[in-house]
Amino acid sequence: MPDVVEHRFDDFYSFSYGRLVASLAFVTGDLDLATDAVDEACARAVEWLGRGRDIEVLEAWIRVVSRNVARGRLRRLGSERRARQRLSSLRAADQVDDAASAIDVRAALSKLPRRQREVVVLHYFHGQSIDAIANELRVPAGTVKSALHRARAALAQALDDPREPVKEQR
Amino acid sequence: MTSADDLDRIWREGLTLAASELVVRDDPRARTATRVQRRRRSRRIKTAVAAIAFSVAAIGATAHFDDHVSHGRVASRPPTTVQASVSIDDAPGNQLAITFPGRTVSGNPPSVTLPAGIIHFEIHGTPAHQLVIDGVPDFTATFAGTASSTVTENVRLQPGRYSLHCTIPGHAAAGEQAILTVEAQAG
Repeated sequence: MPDVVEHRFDDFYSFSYGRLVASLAFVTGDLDLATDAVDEACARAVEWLGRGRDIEVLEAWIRVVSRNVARGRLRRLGSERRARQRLSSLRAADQVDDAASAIDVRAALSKLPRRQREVVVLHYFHGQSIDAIANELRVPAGTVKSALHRARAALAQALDDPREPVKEQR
Repeated sequence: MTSADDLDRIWREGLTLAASELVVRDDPRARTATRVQRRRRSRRIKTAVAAIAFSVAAIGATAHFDDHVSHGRVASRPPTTVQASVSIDDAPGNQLAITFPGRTVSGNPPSVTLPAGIIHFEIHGTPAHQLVIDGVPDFTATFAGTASSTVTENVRLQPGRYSLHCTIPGHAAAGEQAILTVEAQAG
């Protein structure tokens, strides 16, 4: 890997890699698939930069590519529904403590369709604005607002009675 | 009833906490390097397979065309159907005798009408003559040495009127020439 490319990836691996894998795991419900998709996007970025092409914001580029890779694999696996079921049990292997809020958001996330999960993760985890999300996902801003509204409702339901299953959104 | 602001805060904090609980595989740099090498290897294999497939197809096409062509210079042209065959006898008295198809063309200079497309020429000649067709650089029939010989040429002729003649000074004027009129085929 050329030095210039190497330096860009130093920062990416230090500050962004883990966050991207986690955010994609929230969307897909599969940590291994998320890791694989981000790794694939990293490899494509290395090749892209190695051919002398430019990537303005490496993290954003890899986020978009890895999401597309993951979508394709989920489609092939036909596992969208299974992914949503897995989300509620997505946790660390060596987890000892688990705060209530982490349980609640996982429960709420598992009840949202994939596109709404993507909006939630981009907004609450990556801190993106509604307009930026609309631009990245190529959907109207109203769709983003609607997804966030439903996300709040799903979370509110999970908080009210975490033992009861949250009504699944279509 | 939890407020919208509180729900937003819980989303943010909950996702951050949930992310911190995930055990993300370490050493992504090594995995990326391995993946890049694998992709390059895969691309090289695909390129090699495509090159082999192309070569096999090209060999097949050339072999097909060789069925129609005996002159090495035109063997590399793409395969096409020969539209007509013309036999030319460049021997008698500096005047061309043309046979097409199965009949001798009269006239001085003789004139023949041909269909557009690939025309197969078979020219019998004696030294020293060189026949060309103006405007068709692919066609040259050179008769050198001491003995008579036969040259075959396959050339593509577009519709138009062409002069076939010997390049030796004075030979065309003496009658060593013919007129080829090429017409587009109907349909």
